[in-house]
Amino acid sequence: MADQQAPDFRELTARLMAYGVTVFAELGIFGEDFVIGGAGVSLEDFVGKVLLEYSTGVIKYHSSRGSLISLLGKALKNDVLDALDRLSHEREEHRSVTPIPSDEPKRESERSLDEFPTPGRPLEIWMDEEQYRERLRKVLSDEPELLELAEVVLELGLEKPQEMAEFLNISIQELHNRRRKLRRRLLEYELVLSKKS
Amino acid sequence: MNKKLNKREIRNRICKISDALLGQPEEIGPEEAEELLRVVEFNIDAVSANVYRRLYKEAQQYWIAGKTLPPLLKRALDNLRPLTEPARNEQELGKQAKARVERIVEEAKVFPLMSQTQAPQFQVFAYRKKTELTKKDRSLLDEIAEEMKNDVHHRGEEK
Repeated sequence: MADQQAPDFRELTARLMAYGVTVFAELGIFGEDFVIGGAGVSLEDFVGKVLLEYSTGVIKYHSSRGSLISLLGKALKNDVLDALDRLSHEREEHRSVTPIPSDEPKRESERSLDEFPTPGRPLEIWMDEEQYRERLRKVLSDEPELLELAEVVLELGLEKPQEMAEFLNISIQELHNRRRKLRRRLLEYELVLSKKS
Repeated sequence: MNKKLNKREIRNRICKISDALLGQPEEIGPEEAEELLRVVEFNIDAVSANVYRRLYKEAQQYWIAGKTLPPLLKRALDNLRPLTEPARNEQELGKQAKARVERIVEEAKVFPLMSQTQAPQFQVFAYRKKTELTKKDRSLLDEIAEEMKNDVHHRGEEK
């Protein structure tokens, strides 16, 4: 297993990529190569960076910090959120100095990078709790068991697996199964959306 | 009264909700990882090869500076080394051979499925026209019977 003293980097890469895919899907960033538009950084870049930092000792792991994959997964998620945060700041600053556009149409070569289509504002949407709830309910609307799980977290604020399982009257194993289904459902939902657009 | 949360606090709060819903990274085991990557059509061999190249570039800095590689970086390079790279020892050669055989077996498994989608090799004309066996049918059936006989005969000899 990858969590032992001598980790299997191939397994770590696959598991981090899979976790990263769910993080991107949750943020609504989906499409070929999973790239953050505007920043030009792909999921693969994030995974590579985290593995490089771990293998060169920048990220230090000790078993007292939980599992290795969780430590690296959290580092990955923080990097993704930080990149989106930076991008959001850059946009804000850029907007304040962008001249008022004239009515005259510009030639393609005159357009700045900022004027090309960029994705929405994933971080802002993700951090707006109301929008987060709404989106999740939409994703799970035809999955009653998963929706029930989501409501326990969103409405009742339960976060610990034991509490959640007890409230739902299911075993911890069943809770893990539902979470697994939820991760897959989220991906499939985003996949359908990306194919439509 | 509800305290207004700052940006960092909001981010932490949503992260907590997200962890409670989607679980911690450790919940995604190797099997599920494979499944999720299949859904989004990610080729893990290609990703591993790209990560390998990134780590290799870093390793070069150590070699140029005459420093020994950190053990984890060395291990990562060993684990992620693409099978298309020249084998450095017998173990790697074995790995490459195994992967090649597995690929051939996979292709062989797919072949019959592909051939099923094609038109049948022969048609019984009598069945189509609902008449008696035609000359062509008879000669085809005789050919098949002959082939089967030969096959049985060869197998008997092999035993």
